[in-house]
Amino acid sequence: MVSMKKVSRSKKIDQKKGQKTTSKNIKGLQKSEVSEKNVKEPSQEITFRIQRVIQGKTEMRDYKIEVGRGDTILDCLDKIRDDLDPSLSFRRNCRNTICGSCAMTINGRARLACKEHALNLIDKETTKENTKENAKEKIITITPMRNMPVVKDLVNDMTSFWNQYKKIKPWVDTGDKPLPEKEFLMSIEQFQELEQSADCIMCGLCYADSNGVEAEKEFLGPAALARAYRLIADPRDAKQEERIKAVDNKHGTWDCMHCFYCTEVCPVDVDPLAQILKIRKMAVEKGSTKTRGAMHHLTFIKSVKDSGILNENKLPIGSIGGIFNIVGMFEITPVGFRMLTHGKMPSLIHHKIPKIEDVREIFNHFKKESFKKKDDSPVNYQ
Amino acid sequence: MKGYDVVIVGGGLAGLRAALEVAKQTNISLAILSKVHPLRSHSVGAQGGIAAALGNVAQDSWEDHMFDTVKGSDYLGDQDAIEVLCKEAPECIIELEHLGVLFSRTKEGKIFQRNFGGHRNPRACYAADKTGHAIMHELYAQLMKYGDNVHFYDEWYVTDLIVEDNLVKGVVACSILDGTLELFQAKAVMLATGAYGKCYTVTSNDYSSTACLPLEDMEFVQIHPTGIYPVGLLVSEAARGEGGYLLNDKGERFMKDYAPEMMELAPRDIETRAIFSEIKAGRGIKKGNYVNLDLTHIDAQRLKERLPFILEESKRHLNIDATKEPIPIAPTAHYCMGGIPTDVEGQVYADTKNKVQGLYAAGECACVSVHGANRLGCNSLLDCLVFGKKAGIAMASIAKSIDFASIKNNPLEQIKKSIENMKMRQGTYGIASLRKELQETMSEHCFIVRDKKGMLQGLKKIAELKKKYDAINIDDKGNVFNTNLIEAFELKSLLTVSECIVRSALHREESRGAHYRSDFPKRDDQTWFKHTFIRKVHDEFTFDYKPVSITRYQPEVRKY
Repeated sequence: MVSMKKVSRSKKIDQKKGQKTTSKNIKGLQKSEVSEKNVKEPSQEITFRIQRVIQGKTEMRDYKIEVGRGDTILDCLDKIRDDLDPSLSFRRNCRNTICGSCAMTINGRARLACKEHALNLIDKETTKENTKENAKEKIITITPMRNMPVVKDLVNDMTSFWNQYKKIKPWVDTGDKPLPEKEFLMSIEQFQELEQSADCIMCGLCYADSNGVEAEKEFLGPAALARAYRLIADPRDAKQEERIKAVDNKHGTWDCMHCFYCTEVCPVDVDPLAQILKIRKMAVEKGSTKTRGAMHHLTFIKSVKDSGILNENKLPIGSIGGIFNIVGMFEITPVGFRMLTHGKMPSLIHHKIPKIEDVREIFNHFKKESFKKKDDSPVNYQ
Repeated sequence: MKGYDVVIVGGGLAGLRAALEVAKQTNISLAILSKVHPLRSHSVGAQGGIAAALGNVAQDSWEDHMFDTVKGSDYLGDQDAIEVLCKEAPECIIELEHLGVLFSRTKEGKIFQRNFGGHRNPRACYAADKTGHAIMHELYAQLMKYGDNVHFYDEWYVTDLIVEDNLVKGVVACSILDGTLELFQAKAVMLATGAYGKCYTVTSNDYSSTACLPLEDMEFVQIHPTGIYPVGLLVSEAARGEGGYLLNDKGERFMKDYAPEMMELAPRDIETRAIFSEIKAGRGIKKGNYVNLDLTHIDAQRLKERLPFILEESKRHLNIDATKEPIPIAPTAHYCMGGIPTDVEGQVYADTKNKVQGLYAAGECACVSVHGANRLGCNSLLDCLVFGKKAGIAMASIAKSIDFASIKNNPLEQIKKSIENMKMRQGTYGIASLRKELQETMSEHCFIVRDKKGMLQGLKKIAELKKKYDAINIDDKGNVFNTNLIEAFELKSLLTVSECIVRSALHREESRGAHYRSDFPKRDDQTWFKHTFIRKVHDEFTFDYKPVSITRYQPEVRKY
């Protein structure tokens, strides 16, 4: 599967305003900041526009404070609470991006307050081609996370997030395996394979910005699925098959709609999307071809392999397993009808692209690569 | 009123380890009360590793581990307890590994071990430089297995402990989420609350570190040598374990003058005083208040594998690529060796001889004492595990053998009133400004180097602060997530704890481990080879003493 580690998006949707704004890849920008290291500069006056819940009413309040280079958003929030308004509530603890407490929405994106530097954020937003008005006026907007109810000010009720975590049975289960006298042996490669997903700090940022969670509250969400992969890939765990089965369904991996936000907002590079895709791949390899997600996947591949481009008319029918799935057909027919009446129906005639053999060559190449990878895999230490 | 056989206060490593032991037993009801979600506890911040004589990388033995710990403690650690700690360490690590904790591995697939300050053999088992995180997330996940049998009360602040006739009967706690006040009746209670580093301005500790029976060895506060300058966040000792150098303005590895044999890997009290002396002698970088921690001679790939968090941390805070440039560091308040006195089973002492029935403590809030006057790196996580587990086992057996004792004086109404009164305070002082004053006082008068004159001044300032506290202002009058109110309670505890630290430090007229008196610069085994117990009765402080347990090693001159 393609690695999703360095994901770059040219366009993202500012969900709050519903407008499309252009922005650069966050990672690319961080690189340029590093070069201007340790510049001593005077502090700047920044306005923090913070969502408050005062006597049951939600409102935005402005707080102006002096901010220095190197001050994190968390430092600023502390300053506001200490000097201006002690009734402001937010969660925070370690100050060092490991406890995951200070998750909130900062300038429209889910972020950890202790990780973002206020002035860097202003710089980032002003360097964009479309300068944001807020950045020009030196305003930073802070609201609670999305997709979870608000308790007060910047504090979310994270019950739903933790419930999804509990659902995947988040503990390593060695089952009936006899416990060795000493540690289970594990190769360095096996450790490294698990390290990324195990780095998760359960801050909830991915869950807050996930389009999948926004659309379907039952969706397990990126963090729980990344945890699921961490367990599936653990050679000590005895429940691999059961775990894959448990998330290979509608509200498991297949509810993910590849919005990439989980991977973009993750403060510790867990790359949840990559973990979700790994589970899907494992599920299909283990012969799970009957879920709608897998059928969608396979129809997609077959269509591209056959004709070089996607046959959009066949995709929904293929995803439900063909026209003989009566219930499925009933489900998708209204959508088809709406497409027709809204002029969105693709052309019924599907052509093969010229030089289709080139596309097939790509398929063959990746097939070989994936076999090669398997040969290189380390000896099983279990 | 709620009733649980066992109530654990604190969801950090010691609390969760104890909980696991209780949860394994059937038919015991268990509640874990924590003022933050357990996975937000500061145990997740532990970086470098956890010590155990597994001998995976080089020959090692529990006896070696024990000797290193005794010597590291400047001989004040109780040797009976240290023996338990070091003997049980390997089993504790293997248990963790079987529970799914991801440890970094050797080529043979075993748990890797690296060097750490004060340990002569590579003994630190680790998960890159996020060891605490790796352990906490697996332990918490394991507790999920027991479903509703383990009841988590996340974001509940414990206001009072109910002890009647030397028997623990429960706690009173307040829900931060909605302000509900509740009495939790219990047969056994464990305190696993962490400690009180927030008494200082520069600290590697998080915000939640505040805790108050008699308190043992409170004068011993560990100041970690390498905090990122100026914020104080920790750069793990693992950086020196992997071969990092400490350099002064002249570019010299100045540790050669202080610990010629162990150099950068001497115990923390020695490293910290060395850095302090260099800075004082004008050899800080650019004559400033910091020195450099240099990793640039170490292979960049190795750094990326073993210290990824440190690299990311220095980039995030200082825009420094630590593989190419040195990290500016200065000492930072880190760990409290002293705390609630317990025996080796974790049971809390009511005085130097008698214990409180049903009351247990483990982790940083407790003083067993295995760390004595100075803790070795990697021994704190181990302390949490070994004694957390013991406390858990003891509580489970109590839960099965006794009935709930009735509470004679229900304090709920009184506490409710005092909380309402607190909320209504409209005084002249804000919590934050008073806390800052307290931290500045402690950092100025009771930090790395202490003397009588300074500490007396410190006490005077604390007395003033206590008066000011009576005139604090609470802005938030609501019930929902009122952090303003919680911080007011915490400040009150901090004031008491700070006073205990200064009074204990003033009382101990010698230098030992982390407690260094410029007016009494030598260790005095004749008079001070003993633990101090400080107790606050009304507004008076009294002292008592307990002898140090010696089973194997007689005190010697401490050289590294």
